[in-house]
This record gives sequence, C-alpha cells and structure tokens, in this order.
Amino acid sequence: MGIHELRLAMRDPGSIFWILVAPFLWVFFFGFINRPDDPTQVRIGLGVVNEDGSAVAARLVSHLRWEKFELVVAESAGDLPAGERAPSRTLTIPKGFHEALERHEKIDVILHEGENANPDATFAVQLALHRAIVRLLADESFGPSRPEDDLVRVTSSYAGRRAIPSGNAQTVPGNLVMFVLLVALSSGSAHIAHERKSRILSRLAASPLSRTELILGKLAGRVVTSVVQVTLFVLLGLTLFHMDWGSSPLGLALVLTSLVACAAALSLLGGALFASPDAAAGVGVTLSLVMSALGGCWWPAEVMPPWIRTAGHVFPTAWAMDGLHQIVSWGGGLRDVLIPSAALLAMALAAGAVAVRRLRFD
Amino acid sequence: MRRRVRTILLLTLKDLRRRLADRLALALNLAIPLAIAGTMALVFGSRPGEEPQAPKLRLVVADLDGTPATGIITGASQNQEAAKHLDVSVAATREEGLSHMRDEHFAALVVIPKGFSDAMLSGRQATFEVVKNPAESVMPLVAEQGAGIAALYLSTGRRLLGDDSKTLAAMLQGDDWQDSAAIAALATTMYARVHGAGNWLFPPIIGVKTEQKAAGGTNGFNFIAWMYPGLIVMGLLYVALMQMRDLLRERRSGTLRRQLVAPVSVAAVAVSMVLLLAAGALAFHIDWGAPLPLLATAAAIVFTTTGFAALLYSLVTTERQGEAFGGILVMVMSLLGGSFVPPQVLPGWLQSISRFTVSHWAHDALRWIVAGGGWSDIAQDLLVLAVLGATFIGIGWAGLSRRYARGAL
Repeated sequence: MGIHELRLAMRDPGSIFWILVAPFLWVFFFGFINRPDDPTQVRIGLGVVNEDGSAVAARLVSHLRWEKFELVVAESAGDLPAGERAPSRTLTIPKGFHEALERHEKIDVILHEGENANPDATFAVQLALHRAIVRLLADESFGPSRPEDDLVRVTSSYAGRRAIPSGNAQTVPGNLVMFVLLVALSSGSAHIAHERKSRILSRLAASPLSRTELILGKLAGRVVTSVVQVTLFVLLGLTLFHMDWGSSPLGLALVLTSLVACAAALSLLGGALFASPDAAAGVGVTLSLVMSALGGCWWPAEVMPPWIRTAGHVFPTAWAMDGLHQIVSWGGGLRDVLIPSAALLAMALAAGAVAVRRLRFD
Repeated sequence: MRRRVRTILLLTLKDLRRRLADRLALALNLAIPLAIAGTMALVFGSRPGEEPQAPKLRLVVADLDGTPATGIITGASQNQEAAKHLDVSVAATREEGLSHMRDEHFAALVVIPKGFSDAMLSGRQATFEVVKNPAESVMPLVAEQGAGIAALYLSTGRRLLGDDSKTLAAMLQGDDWQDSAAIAALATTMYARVHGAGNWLFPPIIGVKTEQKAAGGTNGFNFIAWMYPGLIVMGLLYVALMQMRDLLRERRSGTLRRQLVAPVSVAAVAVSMVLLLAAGALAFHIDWGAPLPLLATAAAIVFTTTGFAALLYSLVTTERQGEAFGGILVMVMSLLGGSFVPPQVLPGWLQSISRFTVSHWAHDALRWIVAGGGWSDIAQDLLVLAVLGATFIGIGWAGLSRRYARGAL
C-alpha cells in the first residue's frame, strides 16, 4: 500500500513538483540569499562626494580606502558616474566639515542609500564607516597610525564544526523539515479525504484487510513519500549543495526517522479530521507554514523573541530543527539528539492515536 | 454592446454570490497570506509608533584575565543602555563557555585570555577570541563585527593612555591599587588626556546620517508594511487561479456556457483584494495612503492577476495541470518578484528576470502606496500592469473561445 500510494502521488504533476522540484528550487534560492557573507571581506561600491575638499576630509577618504570599498571620489554629486554605473550608496562629506571639527562641533556625514541598494551591504558600509571615523578622530587626537599598528586584535572561529557553515547549513535543514510537513499535511491529508469522499476507503474497508492493516497501510503511504523526500534532501544536499551532514549517521537517521513518523501521523490526523480534500489541503498548507516559521525553518531562530523561540517547541518543527542543528551545526552524536527525537516520537504517537480513533472509512 | 456589458455584470454578481456562499473556500484562499503575515508580525512586528526592536546580542564571556580592566567587558550588560542590546553571561572557563553557548543558544563566546590587560597596557599586542555559535547565522556575525569595533576602541583607548598605561599596569599588578594618592595622580593626568580627546572621540564628533530612498518606505522601516503587499499579490494570484479552475470544473458539470462571456472570477479576486487590504489595515496597522492611487493600483492588480489565471487556464487541459503549473508559476513569480525577500538582494540577472513577472510590478506599486507615494511613483507600474493584464486576457479569451468553438472545452 505504501508503494502504491507513492505511485499515485507520482502520477500527479503537482505532487511531483512539490516533492521533487519545489524544495530544491527553494533551497537554491534561499541558500543563495542567506549566504552569510563576511562583511569584512565584501568589496562594496561607494561614491564619495567630497564637498568640503579640506585636508581632514581627504584624510577621511584615505581611511575609507583602508576599508574594503571600491571608492569613486568626486567633488560634487554630478561628477559621479550615472545610470547603471552609478554607485548604490553615496557618502557626502558636507561643506563646512573641517570648520566644524576645528570648532569641536558635531557634524554629520551623509550616507545616501539608493533605491536598489542591498540592505546587508549597507550595514557593512555603516560598520566600515564607523571604523574609519574612529580611526580618523584617533589620528587627529594622537597622531597618524595604520590599522596594522592596532594593539588589540580579534581572532574568530566557529565552534563545534568541521566546516564553516554556509547559507545552505540553515536553508537545507529548514526546508527539509518544512517540505516534509508541507507535503504530508497538504497532499497527504487531502489524499485520504479524497479517498473517503470518492468511497475508495469504504471499498477498501469491504476487502479482507482489517482496519488496523488499512490504517497502517495508509500510514505507510505517508511514510514512504516522506522517506523519499528526506533521502532526496540528504543526497542532493551532499552532492548539489555541498552540505556537511555531520559525523553521526546514526544520530541523523534517528532525527529524520522521528520527523518522518511525526509527519506521517499528522498527515493521517489531517485526513481523519477533514471531510473535504480542499479543506484538508488548505488547513494543512497554512498550518505547516506557520509551524515552519515559528519552529525556525524560515529564519535563524535567534532573530525571534525568546518567548516565541520557547513557545515554538509546541510544534514538531522546532524539535526537528534542534536535532538537525545538533548533528549538522555542532557535529553532535546520537546522545545529543535523544531529547529532540523523543519529543518528535511523542508527538507522532499522540497524533497517531487521535487519528486512529477519528478515522472513518465512509 | 450595453446588453452584453449588462449580461457580464449580472454573471459577475451571480458568480460573486456563489463564491461568498462558500465561505470556507474563500477563507482558505485568504488564510495563507494572512497566516504568513500574522506569523511575521508576531516575530518581527512592532506596535504602531514604536521602533522595531532588534534582537538582543547574547554573549558568553570567559574572562580568564580577571582584571578590573577586563571586568568592564564582562559587566557590560550592567550598563542600562547596553542592557537594551546585550545579554552577557559569564563563564569561568572556555569549556564552560562553549557548553553554555551550545545549551542556552548564545550567539558567541568571547574569551579574554590570561595576560590580556598586561599585554595591552605594556604596549604588546593583545588578542581576544570570538567563538561563534555554528547553529546561528546572523547574530554570530554581529558579535564578530562588534568585537572588531570593541578592539578598535581598546586600541584607541591604549593610545589615549600613552605612557600612563605602564603606571596603570603596575597598579593593576601590584599593591598600588590601594594607594589613593597614586590613583588620584593617575586620574588627573588621564582626565586631561580624556578631556582633550573626549571632545572628539567619546562619543565620536562625526556622525553618520543615513538617507534612504526605496519603494516601501525604508525611512522608519516597517517590516510588515514592506512584506504584506508581496503576500497580498501572492494570495490574489492563488485566488485567481482557484476561481479560474472552475472553468474546467464547470465543463465537467455541464454549466460552462455561462462562464465563457468573460473572466467572471474577477469578482472573487476583487473581494479578496478588499478583504486583504482591510485585514492589513486592521490587523497590521498598514497605512494604505491616498484612496485614489490605492483604488487604481488595486484595480490594476485584480485585472492582471485575473488575466494571468485566464491565460494559464486557456493553455492547460485538466484541472490537475492547472493546479500544478499555476502553483509553480505563482511560486516562482513570488520568489523573484519580491514576496519573500527584497528584489535588491537578488543578483543583477535575477533582478532583470523579475521584471517579467506580474508580482514585481504589483509589489512595486503597492509598496509605493504604503510608502506614501503618489501617481508619479506608481504610473509606470500601473501602465505595465494594464498592458500585461490586457495581453493576458486577450490571449486567454482568444484561446478559450477557440477551444470552446471546436468543442474542446
């Protein structure tokens, strides 16, 4: 029955797309968008309009050159390149800059962000600008120095992992969890509702199969579909997205198996609760999107308020992400994923128990 | 002609009544954009008039040096202003710090090595370590950047101390820390230095004023107001597709003839648009600006999304194909057109492709409206939407009519 269910799903172009294509399109897109560029290593175009033209303004420009900018310096905005070559951001050192400094009065330089400027790059510009300003003011106070003369340095590294995490380290696990639940809760639930509506379930109930066998068969169908998705994610993650799935295949298998069990049980529950396939699919899509967002599949969990991060653990998505991060990000083992996996299996048991009670064949 | 328009209007109204009778279907059509917007409001939103709150930077500090100078760093979050942005936890060892970071989701561990203050005050190079949490993406980079700036300030502070740094180092190491006369003498010379540089550096006398120009009003950026228009367009595209799918269902049930005079599902799309705009204003406090530009934008979007659905269903032969390809196209258009991320973060070639999507122009118009833009800001968007809508409806209508004439519909 499990294989048959998968065969049925593979006949539907929509299912093929959502199982085989959409997840990887999504991973590619968001992996690209979320790649964590090191702001100190990115060269960003910056136009500088030096309206002041004084020696101290020139020194600020030379400090900016030490940062990783591709600078275009002009005396007025009109002298900067226009059209497609126009810089996305322009820094204006206003007239009267040096007089204000001589009088020890506060003065602002103006960073103008263009309509199509990348906000991440603007953040990097603001940091670099702040560094250049502090260096300039320190030099004006204590005499000239160079960045390599700085007495205090910082070394930086990632804990726990063998490889430096890339955007895919967040995007692949997040999308794996989301798409497994999305397909299970939408088309998986809708399929059961459709079979009941079109009396396929009642015909199956009249066959020599017992109720338990039928329910296990339906559950197997959901499990097989989810296993195919998970396997594809792991394999394509390895080959296409160069994912490091950690050093504990057993730990990874335990988390993913628990997730599959939970998704299958929730899918069965959706099919048991909704009479209409459209309603089952609609509620399933909505629920799985909300669970994915609050469980940390869409964005790094640290950007959420702490109470939402804690409350998100009422959903399987948060536990699945916790388990995957232990394996993928921290390089943890079987012992590190016992709690997340137990939570997922407990949810699977609870959902499965309700689904078995509520599932009607006619 | 008048009779035909009247017929179309009557059919449209009847179609609308039928849609509104099926409240669950309409609610489910609208649930996805509202659920996404609601979740985002919960996670990133702020009340109207309030500044959006950036997440706190959570750091574990392992101060292995343990001098009063490094104590300033470990006690940073005791400062009221710093406490708004920083959550600092102290660990006795590096291992304890790592374990703390892993178990309690801190963004980074800052390790101040033994001898750090002594090296710095003696004029030798001093290095501290930032260990980033690999399970997080954004805040560890913020921690790293913040540490870089802190290091720059410490280097600058060391220059400010000049030769007094040796006196200070000796005091920190020896018993002179108890000598009030020595402390007073040091404080006097340091005050003169700090006062001289302080006019420049503490805080920096040069500020940075950022001016932004972006559709969606990034001045006083409201994430939900930026995000919601994109979700509206995605939701409407799905509504239009689901309504147009009826064309094929009606063929099955034999009631198709009444559908063929026009893309009557425009009524359901229009109602959905009104409901989504109202939900945006009521639930997410979005200011939709001047009524006339909003009305024109809403009409253009309804027209174009309906046309898109008509075109798609003129090309497919089964409901399944329509659902599959419609879903794919809407998803791709939403990704490229800016429903989920600002188009500016896409590489140039993808930004060029996004200009061929309905979503791009619809988002741009709605975001200008939210940003308080007027007719001049949305004129180009409206023109493109109108041309796209007319083209889609023209081709869709011709295709459907031809198929109907040869009995294929």
